[in-house]
Amino acid sequence: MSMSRGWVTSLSISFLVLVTGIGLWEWNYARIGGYSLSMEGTTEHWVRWREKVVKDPGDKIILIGASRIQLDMDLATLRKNTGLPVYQLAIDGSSFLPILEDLANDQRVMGTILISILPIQLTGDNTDTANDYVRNYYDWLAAAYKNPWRLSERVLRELAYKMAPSRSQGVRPETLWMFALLDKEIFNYFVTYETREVEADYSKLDTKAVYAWRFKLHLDSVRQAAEVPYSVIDSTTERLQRATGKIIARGGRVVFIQFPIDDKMLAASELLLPRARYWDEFTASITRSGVSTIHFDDFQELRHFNLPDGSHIDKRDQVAFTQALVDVLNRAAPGWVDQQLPE
Amino acid sequence: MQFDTLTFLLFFTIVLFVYWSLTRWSARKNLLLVASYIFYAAWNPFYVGLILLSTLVDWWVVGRLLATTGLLKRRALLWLSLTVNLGLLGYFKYTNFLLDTFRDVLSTMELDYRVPTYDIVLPVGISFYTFQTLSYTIDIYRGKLDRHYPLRDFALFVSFFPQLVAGPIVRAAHFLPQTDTPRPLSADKFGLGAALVITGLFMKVVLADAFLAPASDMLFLLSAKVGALGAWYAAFSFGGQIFFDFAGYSTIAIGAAFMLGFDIPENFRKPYAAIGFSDFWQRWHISLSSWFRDYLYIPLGGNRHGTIHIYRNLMLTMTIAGMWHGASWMFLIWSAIHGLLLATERRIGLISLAKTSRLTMFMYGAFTLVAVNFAWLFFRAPNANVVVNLLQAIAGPLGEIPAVPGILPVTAILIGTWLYQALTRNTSFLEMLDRMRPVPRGIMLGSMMMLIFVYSGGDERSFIYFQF
Repeated sequence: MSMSRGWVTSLSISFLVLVTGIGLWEWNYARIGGYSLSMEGTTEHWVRWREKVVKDPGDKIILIGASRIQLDMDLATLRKNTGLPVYQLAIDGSSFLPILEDLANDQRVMGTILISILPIQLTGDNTDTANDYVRNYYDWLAAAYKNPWRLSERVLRELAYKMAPSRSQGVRPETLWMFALLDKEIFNYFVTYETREVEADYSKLDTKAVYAWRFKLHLDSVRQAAEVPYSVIDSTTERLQRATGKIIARGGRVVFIQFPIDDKMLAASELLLPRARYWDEFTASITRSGVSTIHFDDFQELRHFNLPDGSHIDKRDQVAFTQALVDVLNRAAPGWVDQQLPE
Repeated sequence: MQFDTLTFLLFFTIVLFVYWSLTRWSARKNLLLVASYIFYAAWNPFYVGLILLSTLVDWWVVGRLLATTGLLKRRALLWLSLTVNLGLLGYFKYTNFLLDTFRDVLSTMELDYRVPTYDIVLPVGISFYTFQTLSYTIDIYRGKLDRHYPLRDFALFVSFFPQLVAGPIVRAAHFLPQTDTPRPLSADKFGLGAALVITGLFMKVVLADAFLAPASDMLFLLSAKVGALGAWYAAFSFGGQIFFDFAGYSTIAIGAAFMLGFDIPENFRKPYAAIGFSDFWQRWHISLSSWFRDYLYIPLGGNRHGTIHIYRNLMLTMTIAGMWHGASWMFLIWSAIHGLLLATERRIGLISLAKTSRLTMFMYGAFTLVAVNFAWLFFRAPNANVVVNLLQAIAGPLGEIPAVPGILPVTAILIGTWLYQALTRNTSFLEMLDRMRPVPRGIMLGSMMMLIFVYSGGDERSFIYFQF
C-alpha cells in the first residue's frame, strides 16, 4: 500500500477529532447539568408503540392526547393500580382526534382509552401532526415486511440506544446556542423514556417566564377556538361519538378527561369558552354513547396540584397525581377498567 | 437499505472486511454479486426477479447480437431488449398514471366506465439498472463494444450495490473492463473512498435532511400563505435539498466503490455554478443527461438536419427525461421548462453573448441559477394547486422573511454553496479532496463526522431519487 497522499494521517486525525468532539459534547451537557439521557420523541418512536398496542391482544390502557397526559401521568402507578399494561400514544402539541379515529377503526384495539381533552380541541383543528403519525404507522406496516432492512434498522437503532445512549440525542447545537443567548437557565427540562413517558423537571426553569409564555399560548388558542362557529364543535362531537361508539360496541371503554390547568387559565377559558356551553354540552352528548367524562375542576383531589407553568405537573407530583386520578376514575367512572387489583 | 443507516454501515463493514480478506479475484467478484443481491433483496426480496430478468435477457441478447450478422435479426434482438427493459419500466412506472389520465378523460366526457386501479409499487432502482443494461446492448448493437462478458461479471455490473438504486448510471464500457483484473488495494484510493463516503453522508444527513428539508417542506406546505420572498425561499431551499440529497448519494456511491477498488464516474460537477442551461446539464446528474444525449438525442438526429429538427430533438429528449423521473404532469412541466430554456439559449446564442465579458458571464450564471431553482418548484410541488399558489406569491408583494425552521443556517448554507461552487467551478471536488494537505483534511472529515453524529437523530428520510 502506498501512502503518497497521507490518507492514513487524515483518517486517523478525523477519528481523533470525532472521538474528542463527542467526548466534549457529552461532557458539556453533563457539565451544564440540564441534559439528561432522553429518547427523542420521533414519529418512528410513536409508530413502534402504536404497533405494540396491536401486538398485545389482552386488556390494556391506552393514553392519548397531548403534552398534559404525557407529563402528568406516571405509567407505573397506573399499571400498579390496574394490573394492566399501559401504552402512551399522546403526541405533544397535537390533536388526539386522528389517533382516536385510527384506534376506533382498528378492530384489533381493545381495552380502555383515556383521552386528555380541552374544549379548544373540539374545533377539530391542529390535526396535521397526528395525521402524519397515523400515516407513518400505516406506511411502516406496508413497507416493513416487504423491506427487511427496515426491521434490521429498528433492531440496530434500539441496540445502539441501549449500548451507547447520548445526551445530545434530539438536541441541536443551534437550539442550545439559542437557549444560551435567550436565557442561560433554560435547559431541556424534560426526559422522554423508551415507554414514551415524559417527566418534566420545572425546577430547571425560570417558571415565571415559562408561565407567561404558556399563558399567552393558552389565551391565543382559546381566542381562536372561540371564533370557530359552534356548528364545527357539533360536527367534531359527532365524529367523537362515531369513533367512541365503535370502541364501546366491541367491548372497549373510553374516558375523556380534562386535565388540570390553573385558576387563571381556567378563568380565561370560562370567559371565552364557557363550561356550560362547551364542556357540559359535550359531556351530555358524548356520554350517551356510553363513555365517561371527568373534569378536574369537579374533584378537589385533582385541583390542589401545583402547576408550575399553569398547565402541566412537575415530575415530583406525577405519582401522586396519577394515584389521585385513579381514585377519581374508580369513583366517577366505575368499570373504566375490568381488572382492579386489591388494595 | 439506505446508505445513511446503521444497517448499511454494518453490511458494508462486513462486505469490505470479507472482500479484502479473500485472495482470489473470482471469489471477490462472487462475494460482491451475492452482497449486491442481498442489498437489493433488503428493499424487497420479490423484486430480485426483475433485476435477474433484465440481466439474463440482455446478456443473452448480447451473445446473440455478437453471433449474428443479419441486420433484421440484430434489429429484432435489440427490440427484444428494449421491449423487456422499457416494458418493465413502463408497467411499474406509468400504468397507474395512464389509467388515472384515462379516468379523468372519461369523467370529463361523462362516460360511465370504471377504470381499474392496481396497487403497483415501483421497484427501487428500476429506472437506473434498466438504463445500465440497455447501454450494453445498444453499444454492442452499434459495434462500439464487441465483447461478451461472463454472466457473473455482467450481473455484477447491473447489480453493483454502491450504485444500484440511484446511480450514477454506469456504462458497460466503463465498468465491465474493471472486472477483468483484480482491483488493487491502495491506501490512496481506500482513503479517498472513505472521505467521499463521509462527505456524502454529511451532505445528506446534515445539509439536506437536518436543515434544508424541514425549511422546504414547511414552505411548500404553507404555499397558500407565503409572499414572494417565501416562494423564492421554497424554490431555493428545495434546490439546495435535492442537490445535497442526490449528490450526497452519488458521492457515497463513488466512495464505496473506491473502497472496493472500483471506479465510478462523477455524477455532479458544481451544477449551481453553471453558465447557461446546456452547461447545467453537463454538471447535473451527468450520467443520466449523457445517457439521454448518447442514446436518444443523437439517434434522433442531434444537432443535424436543420433548426426545426434540433429544437424538436431537444424538446423531445427533455420531455422523455422528465417522464423518466416519474409519471406526473409536474415532472413534464419541469422538463418542458428546461427544454424551452435550452432551445431559447441555443436560438439566441446566449452562451456566446455571455462569454463577451466577466460581468455578462456572471449575470448569465446568476440567471441560470435563478431559473433552474425556479423550475424546481414544479419538480417538488405535490400538485398544481401548490405551484399556482407559489407562482401567485412570486408575482405578488415581497412579504415577510418566512418563519421556517433554521432560516439563518439555511440561508448561510445556500449562499455558501453557490459561492463555493462558483469559485471552484472548474475543479473537481474529488481532485480537491485528494490534493488537500493531510492534517486540515483530517480535521475537516472529523468535523463532518461529528456533525453527522449530532444531527443523525430524528426520523429517517429517504433519498429523493429512490422514488424514480
